[in-house]
Amino acid sequence: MDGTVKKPETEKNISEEKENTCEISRRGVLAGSATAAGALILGSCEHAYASVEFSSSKDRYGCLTDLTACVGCRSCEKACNEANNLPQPDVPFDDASVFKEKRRPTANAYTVVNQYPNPKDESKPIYRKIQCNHCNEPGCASACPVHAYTKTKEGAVLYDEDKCFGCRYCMVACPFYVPAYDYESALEPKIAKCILCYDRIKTGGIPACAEACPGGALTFGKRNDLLNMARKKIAEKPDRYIDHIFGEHEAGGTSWIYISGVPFAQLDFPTNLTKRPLIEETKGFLSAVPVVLTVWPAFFGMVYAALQHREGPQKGQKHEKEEEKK
Amino acid sequence: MKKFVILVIAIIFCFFLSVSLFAGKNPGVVTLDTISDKYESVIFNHESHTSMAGNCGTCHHEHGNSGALPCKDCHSVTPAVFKNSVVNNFVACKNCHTVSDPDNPVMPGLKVAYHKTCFQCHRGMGNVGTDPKGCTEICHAKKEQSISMKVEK
Repeated sequence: MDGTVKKPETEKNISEEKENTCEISRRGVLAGSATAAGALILGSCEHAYASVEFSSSKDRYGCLTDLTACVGCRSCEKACNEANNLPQPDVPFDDASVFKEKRRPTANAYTVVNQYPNPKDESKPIYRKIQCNHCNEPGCASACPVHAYTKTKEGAVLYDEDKCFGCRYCMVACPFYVPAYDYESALEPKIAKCILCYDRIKTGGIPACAEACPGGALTFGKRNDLLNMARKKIAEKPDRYIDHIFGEHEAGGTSWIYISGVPFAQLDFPTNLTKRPLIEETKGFLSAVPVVLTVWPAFFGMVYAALQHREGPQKGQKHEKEEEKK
Repeated sequence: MKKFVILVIAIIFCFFLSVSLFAGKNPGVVTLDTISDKYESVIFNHESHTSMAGNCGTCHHEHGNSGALPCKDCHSVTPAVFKNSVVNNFVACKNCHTVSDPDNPVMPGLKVAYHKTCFQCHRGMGNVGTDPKGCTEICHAKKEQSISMKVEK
């Protein structure tokens, strides 16, 4: 009797022990794998926005728009049109009727000037020129799935229309609503935007709009020089300017910076931007995606294979026992 | 030390003179014709402008008022040379202002230097055309209907 009672007990104990060791090891493996995966993600996050090769370039160029100096002559629009060989607009450049509505850059006009009332002096409306601001860390470039965008060391954000497949993520990603889509072309649609006249600045020239501006509203130069110039202007004429350089920190800083006599919100500038580059919001996650897609399947596959290997013989034994009972 | 004293005296003299002397003496009527192929030459009458501006520094920008450019750079430092330089030999804007230089953004090109000076007062003045009022209708008329912004080099 005793033997028959004891034997199953010992067998039970052994099987319990086996189960316990198995569970512990499974937990351990799972916990270990989670830690490893977390470390992988965190590790990739830490280095995610370390793409400082353009942010650190002190010699990169920029443009300073003095909104108090713009007289709305639209010479910049015309110069941009000619420099980029864009089609003639429906309304000529010396026709002020375009100011009746607020325009946006389009595939046929990389820069536009809009008119705003001047609360200080009604006879001198304020004009705001809109074009690509050439962010230090461009959101469009981080959103583009095919790497059609390039941030050059000169500061310009370039765009390769041959790579584009028309997803228009960049239009959504841009905080300034700049990239424009060529909706009229059905077969070869392209994104279009200002490229800071890259061919000109590369050879020591200045962008067409800045060259054409008669009133000194557009000044092209090294971004650091322009920031100093803007600070000096504000310090010398505190009545004329508000104490804010738009683009110094907005969205992580932009190559195109602005000074104004009225708050930027009155001129439809986006005022909800953080000082952090927009890339930081997404790049950590996006750079983790390839890691998750490649490392995780391999890692968990290995874990699964290892567990299968352990569980395999057990199941086999049980089957054998069941067969013996029969 | 002696040189320094002379320099200080000369600079003080320069400031006093710039206010007192400029009111009556000026370069007279100047014809601005660097882009006369595109626009009619601008006939600028100093006399009618100095009476409104009060002193040269009002229009002649950073030169003298905020001290960005010392007087001596254009007018030398000795009283005799200075007097000569403001009465007889005037330094034309285009002698220093040429084209915009990306490496020196503080120094505007000739076009900006001219326009900035005019716009100080002429924005919002007059009643011809759109703002800035009537530049190309009155004294800065276009020669062609459509003028290209491309700069010939």
